[in-house]
Amino acid sequence: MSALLNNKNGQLKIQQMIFMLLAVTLFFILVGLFFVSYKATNLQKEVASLKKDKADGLVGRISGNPEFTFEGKSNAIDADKLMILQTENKYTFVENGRRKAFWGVEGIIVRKIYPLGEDIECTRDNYPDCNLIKLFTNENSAPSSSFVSWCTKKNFQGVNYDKCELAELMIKESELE
Amino acid sequence: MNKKGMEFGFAWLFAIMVGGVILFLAIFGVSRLIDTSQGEVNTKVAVEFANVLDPLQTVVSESSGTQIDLPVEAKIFTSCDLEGNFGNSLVSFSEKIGFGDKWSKLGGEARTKNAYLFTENEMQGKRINFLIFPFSMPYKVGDILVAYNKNYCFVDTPVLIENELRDLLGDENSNIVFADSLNSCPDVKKVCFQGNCDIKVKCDDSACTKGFVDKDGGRVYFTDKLIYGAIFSSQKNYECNVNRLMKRLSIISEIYAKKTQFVSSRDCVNIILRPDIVSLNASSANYRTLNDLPKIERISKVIDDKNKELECQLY
Repeated sequence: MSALLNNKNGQLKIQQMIFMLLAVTLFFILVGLFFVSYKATNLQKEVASLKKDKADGLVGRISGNPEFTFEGKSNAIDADKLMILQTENKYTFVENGRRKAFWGVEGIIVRKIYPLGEDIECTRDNYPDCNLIKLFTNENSAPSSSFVSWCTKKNFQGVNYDKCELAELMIKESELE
Repeated sequence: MNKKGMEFGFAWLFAIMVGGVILFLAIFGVSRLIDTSQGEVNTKVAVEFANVLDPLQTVVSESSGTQIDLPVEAKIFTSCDLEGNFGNSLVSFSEKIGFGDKWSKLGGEARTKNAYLFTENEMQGKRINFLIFPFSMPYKVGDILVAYNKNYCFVDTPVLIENELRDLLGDENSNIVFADSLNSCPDVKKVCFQGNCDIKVKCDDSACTKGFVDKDGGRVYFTDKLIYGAIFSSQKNYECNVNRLMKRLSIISEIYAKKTQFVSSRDCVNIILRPDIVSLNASSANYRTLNDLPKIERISKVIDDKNKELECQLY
């Protein structure tokens, strides 16, 4: 009788221990999951911040790129070249199912801001009587921006000259590579 | 006799075994997590480093020099590929962590299409020095980003090169010293323009605008500012990045060829350049080795001379 009682008591202890071990394991798993989700949220924030940093770093310097620069002048973009870039598909590619441009951005928008007027998107038909050039995007604005000179070649009574107007260059950042 | 104190039944055995398994899993999990976190930090540092390369590039056609200080000592691995229309510069990091100067797990590669990073395959240190030169042929194609962190001694340097480097480095940067003879150099990597040493530069003219560099048993040809890439970069990175610059030159030439037609409707006549630009486009698209550089440079010189004569210049 006493041996039977001892045996039952032992089984109960083992069951208690199993429950305890299960509880401890579950506790560690939950803490682990909480930590992983916290890290994932942090990572997303860091990725967003890196994207913004990249766009901010790029927007002030993109006018110095050979595809944009107007005769090597500081902070001046060549609108003629941008019009050609509109139809150039070598600068875009698809990576991981997303369309990206060469500079690691999803789109570039340049808008003349003086003289003020309604947005007229530049096409081959209306250029240069327009004030908005969109590259690789259909949107009209983007979060990161800087001011540049919008320059073109003009001719007045047989004399060529450079015409530059104030414009805002905007960048729509893409996923980090 | 009380035997209770000596009891070591199944319950104890079971608890020790399962407890051991749980502890092992916990320690294993934590060590994996630390490894992954360090890899994540290294990937983030690599992306930040790649991001910094954009603002480093020149806005106007002026060379510049700068430094980047890293928070901890790191190994930086750089490489280059020719993927797609432009190729990529790739960077990955491993930082020194903890006690015993252990190197952390290598992070993921950050890639950039817009930077041409001329460096050794591996750099180690807390400070990275940069020399940035616009690369034009004849119009701007990109920026040569030379990164280094070793000390160099330049011997018998042509005046133009020495003056240019002194201007870029400033007085505080002592990574590069200039000497008249090998004997007066400290115990660092030596770059000599005459005689024999670690890196031998042979110039074809007094301004050193053309020539070749012998380094690590290999020879690379240079033209203009590529001399700095040839001196400070590994042969593999140099050849790959020059190839990438030629790919971009080819595409930019296409844009300029189209521009000659585009602006002619507004009485800006420079279409005379078009045949030469088309030829430059074809030559750079067919670029295979450094031996093709002189031919491309010759065409670019013709375009530059003709452009200077134009009333409405193309670039």
